Amino acid sequence: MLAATKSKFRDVDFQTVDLTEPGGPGHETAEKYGISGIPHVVFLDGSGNVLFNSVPSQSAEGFEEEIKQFH
Amino acid sequence: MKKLWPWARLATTILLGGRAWYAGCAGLSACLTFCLPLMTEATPVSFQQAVADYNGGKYSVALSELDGYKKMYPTNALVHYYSALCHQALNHLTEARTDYQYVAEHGDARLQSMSRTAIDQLSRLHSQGSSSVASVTPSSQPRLVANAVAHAKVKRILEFSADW
Repeated sequence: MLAATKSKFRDVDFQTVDLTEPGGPGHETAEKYGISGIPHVVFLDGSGNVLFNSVPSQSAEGFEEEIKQFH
Repeated sequence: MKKLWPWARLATTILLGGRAWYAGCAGLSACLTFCLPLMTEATPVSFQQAVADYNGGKYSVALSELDGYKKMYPTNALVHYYSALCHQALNHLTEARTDYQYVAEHGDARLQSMSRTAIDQLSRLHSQGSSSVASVTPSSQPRLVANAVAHAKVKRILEFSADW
């Protein structure tokens, strides 16, 4: 989903957090933001404040709309 | 033989006309069969909207919206958890238990704990023989969205995923 959306929001830094490996580095980040399942997205502002923390939309268009709320 | 010719032509015309009419009906029927589901299929709503509908008491609406998410993200514990909440509110206790059970086995520690509490609650309800929706206390909800900072702009997006 990110690949299709990245090019439309060039001023936003998109990062994938991989939770494949149990106990891997991504899990610390997941715990920090209270991630309870995947897929899941967290939007942060420039100061690291959480703006949006939820399951992403089912479609790329819907995901873009979610970003636009904070863009 | 010549006298039969007009009758033969008339019969042929009726037959072919009937076949054309039948073919038209069959075509229309096929079109309705395949196109109507596409035309009436609900536009996917955001997960936030589904949660808002649940919070607004529109349990059936929320449930149908969450069903789409369950099909797309079948292993997402949070989706199962909200589905369980909707089922519980609608007194679909068996379905609620199934969803809670999934979350109790696959969710994170926080959701697991909330789901186990809900399962205990459903079990007590069952043992009491009650089927009243009102007697089911709504289970806890996880925090989904932090307080939005006014006019803050998104600068970074983290997408959590796994190659399972």
